[in-house]
Amino acid sequence: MRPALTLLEYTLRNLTRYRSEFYGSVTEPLFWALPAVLLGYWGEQLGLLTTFAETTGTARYAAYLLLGAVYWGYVEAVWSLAFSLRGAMRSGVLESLLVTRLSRLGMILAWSGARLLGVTVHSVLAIALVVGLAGWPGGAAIGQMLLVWALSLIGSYGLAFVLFGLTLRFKDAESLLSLVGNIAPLVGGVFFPIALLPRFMQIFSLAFPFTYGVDALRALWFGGRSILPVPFQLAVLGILAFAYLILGWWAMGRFERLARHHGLEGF
Amino acid sequence: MIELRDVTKTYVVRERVGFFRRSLRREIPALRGVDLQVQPGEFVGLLGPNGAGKTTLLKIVATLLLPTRGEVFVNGIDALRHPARVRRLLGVVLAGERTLYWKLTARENLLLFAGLHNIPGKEARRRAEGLLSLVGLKEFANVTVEKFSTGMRKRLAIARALIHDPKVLILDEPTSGLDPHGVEDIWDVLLALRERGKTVLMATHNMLEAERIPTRLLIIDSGRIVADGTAAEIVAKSGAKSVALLTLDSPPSLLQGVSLHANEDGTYLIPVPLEELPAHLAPIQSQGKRILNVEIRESRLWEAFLRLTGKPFDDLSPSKGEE
Repeated sequence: MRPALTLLEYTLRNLTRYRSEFYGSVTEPLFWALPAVLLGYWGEQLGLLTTFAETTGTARYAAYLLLGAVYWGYVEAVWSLAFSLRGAMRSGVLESLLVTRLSRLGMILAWSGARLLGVTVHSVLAIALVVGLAGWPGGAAIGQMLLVWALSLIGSYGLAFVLFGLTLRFKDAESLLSLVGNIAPLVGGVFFPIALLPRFMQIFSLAFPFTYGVDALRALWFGGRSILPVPFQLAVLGILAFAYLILGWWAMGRFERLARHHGLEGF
Repeated sequence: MIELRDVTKTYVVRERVGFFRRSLRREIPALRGVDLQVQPGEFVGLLGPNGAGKTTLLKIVATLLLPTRGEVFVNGIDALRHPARVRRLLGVVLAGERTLYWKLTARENLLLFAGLHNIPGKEARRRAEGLLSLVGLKEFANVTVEKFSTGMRKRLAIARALIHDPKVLILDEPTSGLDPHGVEDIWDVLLALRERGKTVLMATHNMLEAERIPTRLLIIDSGRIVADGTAAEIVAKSGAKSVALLTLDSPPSLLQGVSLHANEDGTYLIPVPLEELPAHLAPIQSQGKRILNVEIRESRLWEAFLRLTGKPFDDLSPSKGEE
């Protein structure tokens, strides 16, 4: 445990030394909040955009987007740790890390832990805005929402394992990571319900655990219908999340072995 | 302590050839059936030209690379089956200077890697201070690595590799790219480690370093170990004699039994056995080539290397590795 915690501590310390990036990431929540403030608060609460607000229900949509962004922020923080791996490859420290007692799982937990802490800091303002715009969902719903959050992170770790292994083996995996990062929120219903997607794309959406996660989260907070009845949806999310986790772990082991045959260097 | 049995490594690369960009599979042998034993307390140098297989061999021992065939043991532990157990025994310094976190200070780098080796905080701080003194960086402990010179970074990398007091230290060309003062500083550290009886396996590109630092030397060429012994033993076995290094302004026509090495500054270097120098001077001068410099290398390891490998050494330029 000490190796992983040490890597987490120094990863955070190292992040603060890249000042422009650090301050950029700290101010990121302000940009998240801007649409909600413009559309939800100015528009619907103060009535400055009355006609637009009446037509579109902007406060609820702003809350809908913000909650989706927070959820996706957590999911992405985990699987995008492959960027941390890539960064370690580029900077040349990866092999130095690999010859320590730090396990692969420890490395993944430390890097994702640093990213999750960052997302938590970012999310405070966004969650406060969601509460302001859509009200407090109640204690019972919060419990179920935490379950959704935990299962989604488990699924995201499955995806992270695959991407970690792919990055180890093929090194130049940025384009793949960017592709996943751009397509997944669209397919997963982060910005709009998946019912609006073409039929063939909905097949992909339904194989994606995060589709059920974000949908269940909104149904629990805002009320309204979910894709499936909530208990059943949570069960599907759980099954998919653990399936992703197991398959991801297996795939990472295979890719890592291939990487050790070919060598880990190369940029 | 370290044992390699019949270790073979073949890299497979794919090339696109021909008009239709057909994919062609090509095998590149890096190591060919290497057998090696390093005893506790030995300081073993691995000397070879570029592409000889030095780094591949070190990476296999360091568990970073799997061999195509063969077995590797460190302290009797099978490195291929139990890499995590073997890593606890090894301190590794790989080539290149970006093996540290540049935005962290020297002390922070050492404390980070101490934590990664599961060393508790208080003990880690004690070891970090001792190692900073050993490598002469105590007064720079709170300076970020990005402000260090190449030599300071290399010294810090050695300290980092020693933070968990490993049984075996693996060094890949620790003095490459350093100026003479930097080389001297690293040699001081290496000699201190030799005095302490640390087991070290070190790849080197520096002939003088190969002669001075290791207690035992291996010459590796095309994936095979072609000589094993002390520097003096290797020279004696090869029948090598002193070498004259001729620097020419342009390449001469091929001379029998002589290799030609192109320098970066556009000049050419020809190493010839000292006793054969007069025989080679005449044909060079008759071709109208200008001899810019003649340097006599007392070190007979140069010629032993040439005799054993039949190749010029990359580090032949006269000023490299010199004090």
